[in-house]
Amino acid sequence: MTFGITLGLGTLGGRFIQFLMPDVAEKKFSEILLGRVDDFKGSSAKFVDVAGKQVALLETDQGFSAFSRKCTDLGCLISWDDSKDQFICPCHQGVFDRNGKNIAGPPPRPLDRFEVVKKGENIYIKVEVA
Amino acid sequence: METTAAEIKEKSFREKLIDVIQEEVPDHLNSFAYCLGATPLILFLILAVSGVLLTFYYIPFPGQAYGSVKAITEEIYLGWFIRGVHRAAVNLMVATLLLHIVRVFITRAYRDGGEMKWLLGAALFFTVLAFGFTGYSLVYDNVSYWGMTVVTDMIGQIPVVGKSLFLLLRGGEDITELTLLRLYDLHTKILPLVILVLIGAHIVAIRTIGFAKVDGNGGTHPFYPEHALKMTAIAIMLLIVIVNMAAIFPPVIGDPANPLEVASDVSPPWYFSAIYRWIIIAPREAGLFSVFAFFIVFTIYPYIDRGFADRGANMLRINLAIGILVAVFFALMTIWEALV
Amino acid sequence: MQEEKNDTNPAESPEHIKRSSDSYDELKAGMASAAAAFGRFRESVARGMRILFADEEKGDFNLMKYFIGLLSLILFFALTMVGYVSVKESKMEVKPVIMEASEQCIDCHVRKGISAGAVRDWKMSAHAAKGIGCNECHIPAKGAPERIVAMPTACEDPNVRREVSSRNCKQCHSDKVAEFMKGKHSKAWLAMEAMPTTKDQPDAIMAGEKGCGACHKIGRDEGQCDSCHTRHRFSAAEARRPEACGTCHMGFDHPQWEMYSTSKHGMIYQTEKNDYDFSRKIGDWYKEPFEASSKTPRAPVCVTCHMQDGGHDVSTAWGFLALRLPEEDEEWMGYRVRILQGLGVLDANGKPTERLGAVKAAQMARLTREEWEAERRKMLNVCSQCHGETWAREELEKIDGLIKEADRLMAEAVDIVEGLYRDGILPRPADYPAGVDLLRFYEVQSGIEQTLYVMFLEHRMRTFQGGFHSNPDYLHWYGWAEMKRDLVEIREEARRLREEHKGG
Repeated sequence: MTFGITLGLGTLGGRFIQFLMPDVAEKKFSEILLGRVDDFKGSSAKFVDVAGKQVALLETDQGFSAFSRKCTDLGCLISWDDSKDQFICPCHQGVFDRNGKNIAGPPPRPLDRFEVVKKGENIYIKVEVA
Repeated sequence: METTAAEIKEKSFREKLIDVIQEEVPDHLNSFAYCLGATPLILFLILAVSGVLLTFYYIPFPGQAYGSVKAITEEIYLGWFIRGVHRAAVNLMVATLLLHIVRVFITRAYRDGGEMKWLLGAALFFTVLAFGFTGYSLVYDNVSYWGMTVVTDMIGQIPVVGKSLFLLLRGGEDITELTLLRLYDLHTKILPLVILVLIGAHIVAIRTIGFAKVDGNGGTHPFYPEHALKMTAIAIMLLIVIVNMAAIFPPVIGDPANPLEVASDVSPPWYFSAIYRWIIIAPREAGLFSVFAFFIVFTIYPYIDRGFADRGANMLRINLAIGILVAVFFALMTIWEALV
Repeated sequence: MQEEKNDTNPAESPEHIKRSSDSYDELKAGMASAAAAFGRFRESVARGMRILFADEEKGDFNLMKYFIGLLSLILFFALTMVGYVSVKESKMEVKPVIMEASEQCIDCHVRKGISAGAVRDWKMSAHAAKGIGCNECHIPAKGAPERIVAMPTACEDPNVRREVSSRNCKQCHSDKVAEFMKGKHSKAWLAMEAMPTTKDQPDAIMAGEKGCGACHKIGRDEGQCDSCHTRHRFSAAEARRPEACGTCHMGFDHPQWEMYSTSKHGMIYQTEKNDYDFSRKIGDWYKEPFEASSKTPRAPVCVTCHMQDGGHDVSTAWGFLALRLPEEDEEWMGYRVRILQGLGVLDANGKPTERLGAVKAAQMARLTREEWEAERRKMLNVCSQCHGETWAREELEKIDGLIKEADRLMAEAVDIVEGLYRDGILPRPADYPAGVDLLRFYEVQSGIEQTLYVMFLEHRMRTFQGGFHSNPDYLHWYGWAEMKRDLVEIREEARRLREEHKGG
C-alpha cells in the first residue's frame, strides 16, 4: 500500500511540479531592425529598447557593436558618459570602455554583446524572441 | 474507557494524540451514505492544492486575467490539467456537499443537541457557494463578468445590509479592476481562512457532540486505522475520477468579457442554475425574497424541527417529504436552465 | 486438464477428426476453469465491496491496504496518460516586436480607430517580427516620387504619408525592386496613360484608381508592391497563389483567371490547393532530389510560369498585344503591318509613328528577335520542368500558328473599316491618326468601329490567351468563333453603309 500511495501521489506531485516549471524551450533568435547606418553615426552610444532588452549601440572601428545595458556586476542599467567616452554604472560605479571591456569597479567581465547584422544600409541585431 | 483528570494530565502528548485518532466511530459510518461528509473535505484539499498552483500563473487584473487563464488552459504545460482538476473538484464538491446536506436532513442528524453541527454546516455551505461564485468570476470571460454583475446586484437587494455589501464587493458602484481584486482576495485569502476555521469547528463539534444515533447494531470501530484507511481509499478514488474527468473533458475558455454586450448564452455554473432560473420566472421582489427566506429557514431549521417535534409531529416523514420536494424542485430548475 | 476418451476407435477414425475432438475437450476444460476463476474473482470483488460499504463486517484491513495500493496504481497510470493528452495549443505564430516609434503610431491609430485593420495585419507580418514598423515605410525615403512627397497628411508627424513608394521597399528589398522594374508590371501605369482616350474618361476610373487605374496602379510611383502581397501583412505565400493575380488578370480583355481556373492545370489547382504549401520559395518546388509530397503544387500556378524562380521581372514572348518584330513570315508580316496601322503604331506608308516609342517604353511588345527568343526559351524551361521540351515547343508553336490565323481575320477587318474611312463613308475626326485607331477602344462613334475594337480587344485576345492558358473553350468559342462572327458582321455592315452612302 505504501508503495502504491507513494507512486500514485508521487506522480501527482510530479505533475504539479511540471506545471510550475516555466517553459525554457530553445529560444529562437530573430533579427530586429534598429535603423539605418545614418541614424547611428557619431561617437556616442545610442540606447534602444529591443523586444524588452535594453541595448547600447556604438560605432567602433570594427563596425557597430551592440552591448547589453545590464551591468555585469549586479544588473543595473549602465549609462554613457560622453566626456569620458565610457559606460558608467550608477549602482557601484563600474566603468566600461567603448569596447565593452570592464576597466574599473566591481564588474567581473566585459559587457554582454548582441550580434549585429548589417544588410546594405540597415542595421539589425539578433535578440531572443519568445 | 474512563480516565480521571489526573490520568489525563499524566499522559504524554503522543499518547493523547493516539487517543484522539483512535476515537471510536459508530459502525454506520461504514456505509457510503454516511461518508459524504469526508468527501467534501478531501475535495477541499484537492481544490486548495490545485488552487495554490493556479495562483502561480493567474494575474488578477482585468486586462490580463483572461489572457492568463487562456495561457493556463492552452499554453502552459499541464496548465489545462491543473485547471481541469480544479474545475472537476469544484463540481464534485458541490454535488457531494448537496448529497451530504440531504442525507443529514433526511436522517435528522442535527437532533439531540446537534444544532451546532448544523449551524456550522450551514455556514460552510454558504462559504462554499461564495467560493464557487468568486472563483468563477476570476476567469473574467463573458459569463464571469455578467455573473459578477448579476450576483452583486442580487446581494444589493438584501434589505438593510444589501447596499453596503454591494459596495463592499464591488469596490464602488461599478465593476472595475477593484472588483476583480476583491473577489480574488476573497477567493484566495479570506474565504480559505474562514473555511479552515469552519471546517475545524465542524469537526470539533462532531467530535465533542458525537454522532447522532442510527438504528443498527450500535457497534463502533476505531477511527484509525480503519476509518482512516477507508477515507484514504475514497480520496484516491476521487483523485482517479477527477484526473480522468480532467483528461476526458478538458477545460475550455469562452469569449473574453465584453462589458458592452451581454452574450445570449450567459448562464451561471450548474449549482447556481436553480436559483438563477427561479429568480427569472418569479416576479422580481417575490423571487429574491423567497430565496433569502429559504436560506434563513434552512439555517435555523434544527430549531424549527425541535419546535414541531415537541408537538408530536413525525419529523422523519416530514423531512423526507421536504427533502424530496426540494431536491426535485432543484433538479427541475437546474434542468430547465440547462435546456434554455 | 482432463482428457475425455472419445468413443471412436483411434485407429479407425481419420486424423483430423481425432484432433478436433481433443481440442474441443481442451476448450471445454479451459472454459470451465476460466468460469471458475471468474467466479472467484467476482466473489472477491463482492466481498471487497461489502467490506467497503456495508454496515456489518468489521473488515479485513489488509485487504483494504491492498485495495488502496491498487487504486494508487490506477491513479499512477491515469496520471501517466495525462502526459499524452494533447490540448489545442494556440501559440501565436508571429510575435510582433513593437519598437518605440511604432508604439506612438499604434497608440493613436488604435485609440482613434483609424485604419485599425492596418495595425492588425501588420502585427501578423514578418515585418513586425523584425521590428520593422510604421516609419520605415510611411516616411518617404530619399528620392521618393514627387507625387507622394507632395501629398498632404493628417498625421501629427508631418513626415508621414499615407501612400508608400517602392523606394522605401528598396531599402531592404533592393533586388526584388530592381527585378520588378525590369518587368512589365512596372510599366503598367505608363501604358495606361499612353492610351489616347485615357484623358477623356472620368478621373475616378483612371487616376482615381477605381477602374483601369485600380489594376494599372501596380506600376504607379515606381511600383506598388502591395498589389500582390497585400498590405499590411505582405505575405509572400499569398502572392504565390493564383488568386493574387486574379483581381486584375480576369475579365473582358484578359480573362486569364477564368481561363486558367477551368483549364486542366487550373482544375488540378482547384481540387488540391488546400494541400499545397505556398510558404516555400518557387525555386525550391521542383528541386532535385525531389521528395514526393502533396504539399508541392502538382500543376503550374501563375507564378510557376510567369515568375520562374521568384523573379519579379514579369514578361512574356508575345506580350499583351500578340505582336512581335521582326517577322520572317512575309505573309504574316503583311497582316501584322495592317494591325500595327490599325493601332496607329505605323502610318499609312508603314513608317513608325511616335506611338512606337510608347510601345517600347511600356514594353508592350518584343521588338527584337533576341528578346522574343529569350522569353520563349524561359517559357520552354518552365514547361520542361514537368513536360518534355519537344512536346512543349510543338504545343506552343501550334498557338503561334493560330495567332497568324487570327491576325489574318483581324487584318481583313481593319482593312474593311479603313476602306470606309478612305472612301469618306465614315467621318474621320481631326485628332484621328492615319487610319483606324484600335487604341481608342470604345471611344468610337459607329457600330462597326465598336465591333472592330471588340474583335481586337476581346476576341483576338481570347484566341491566343486561351491557347497559352490551355483553355480550349475560350480559345475557340469565345475567341476564334467570335472573331469569325465579328468579321461577318463587319462585312455586312460595311456593305450596308456603302449602299446607304450610294443611295443617300
